[in-house]
Amino acid sequence: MSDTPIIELHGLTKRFAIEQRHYGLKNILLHLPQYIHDRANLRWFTALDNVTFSVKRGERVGLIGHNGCGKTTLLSVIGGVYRRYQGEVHVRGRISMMLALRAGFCPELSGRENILLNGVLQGRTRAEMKALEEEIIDFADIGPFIDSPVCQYSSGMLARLGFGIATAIEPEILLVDEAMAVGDASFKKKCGERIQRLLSQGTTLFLVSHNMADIKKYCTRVIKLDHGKVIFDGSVEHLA
Amino acid sequence: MPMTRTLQLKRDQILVLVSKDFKLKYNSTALGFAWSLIVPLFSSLIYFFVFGIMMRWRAENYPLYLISGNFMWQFFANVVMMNGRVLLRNSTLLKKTSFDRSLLIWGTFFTESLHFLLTIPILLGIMIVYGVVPQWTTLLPNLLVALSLLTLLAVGIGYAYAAINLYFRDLERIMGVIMMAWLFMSPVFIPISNVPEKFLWIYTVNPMAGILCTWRDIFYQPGFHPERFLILAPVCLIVFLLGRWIFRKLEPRFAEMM
Repeated sequence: MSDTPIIELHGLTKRFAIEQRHYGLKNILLHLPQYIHDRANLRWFTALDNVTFSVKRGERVGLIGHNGCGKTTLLSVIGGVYRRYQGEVHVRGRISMMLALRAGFCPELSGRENILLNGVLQGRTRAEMKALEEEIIDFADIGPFIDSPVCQYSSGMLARLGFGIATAIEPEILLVDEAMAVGDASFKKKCGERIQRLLSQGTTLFLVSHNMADIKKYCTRVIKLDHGKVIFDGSVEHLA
Repeated sequence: MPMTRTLQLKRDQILVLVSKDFKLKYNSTALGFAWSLIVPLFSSLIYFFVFGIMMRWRAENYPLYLISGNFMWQFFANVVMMNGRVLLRNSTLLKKTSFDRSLLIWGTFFTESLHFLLTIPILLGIMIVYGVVPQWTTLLPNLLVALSLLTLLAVGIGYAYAAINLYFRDLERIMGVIMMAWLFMSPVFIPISNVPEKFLWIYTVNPMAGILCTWRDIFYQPGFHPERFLILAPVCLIVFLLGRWIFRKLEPRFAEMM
């Protein structure tokens, strides 16, 4: 284990092409010069701009910044969803992601079926998920709805189920994106207990939140993004 | 046999994807999985009415010829066509989890294999009606070769189709036409004796023709013809490797293309 960072990013840059106009074949042929000009001058949106940092095993990192600054893109790259980028990314541990609501759920399947689907796709075997099922259902606390399709769930129920799965599979790295924002007080309290339990087991936490109280409560280190650049990286106390 | 955790996990991931496909496919339909029998059976009936009764085409045990060919063709065509939208159908999973995307292609393959398996009792029933008893020495090698070549061909095309369709949605329409043409260029319902000699070359270059003939030999011509696979096997393998290569090339951007 030692000192090798669990997450290592070096010069990570992620750009998305902004599609200006959609060309069908007819338009390509009729407006060929314009088309070639547009293709040659694609406008790019730089979501992450030369991001470099590393995270040690067991560190608790809060990720902050205004809307559209690249937080979710960063989590998506670390979580292995976006796989084309410039720069280097090394992730050395099993990840569990809780990216926004409806995270990795199949809307037509029941909550119970989604526990199995989501957990297995995140790297747990079926037998392991079967063993965790009761604990997750207990945490999610959605009563008889657990056997109804998740498209009928309220946002609170979805968040509880997603959070229950993401934490029950005991990841080495937990990525949480705004998951707690929708919950009521008792849900937040339960989430807090879960996160503290994982932290005491040495899980590395990556928490995205606009709520500074949450960041201060769970995180020791804060990274602030602005237009895809890291503009602050340091301990919570030093954040202006 | 000890299984490594990685293998066990891949197996479980395919299992949950297949079971999801099954649940969604028959979700809120009254007849449920009976549909996977009714559809191939009904299309066989239509072919029989058109070609056997109206056109009066003759082949030895024509209903058996038709059903054996059509069930195999439907298996192939379903694996290909269901893979066209497999990435789009699973976009919520692709955007939130990082599992190996190629498992979706194999998931479609195994789902359709199960549907194919469900149609086998009908085929057995027809064989009993016509008193056809295959010889073991023909059944085993021909079944093994026909199914493995079909797997390579269908999954290879499925890989390429699934990946390219994300970038170039016109492909869906193009594939619809290609698969229809391919059906007519294959010995599915056309008795080979009805094909004019100057068009027989189509069957030589069409890998599905070789696969269907190998499969039909089980019911018609006892014997195994290894010389047939000199060209057929490399073609299927190349299609498979090429399809997988295309998929791997395009895979890093799947999540952002949706």
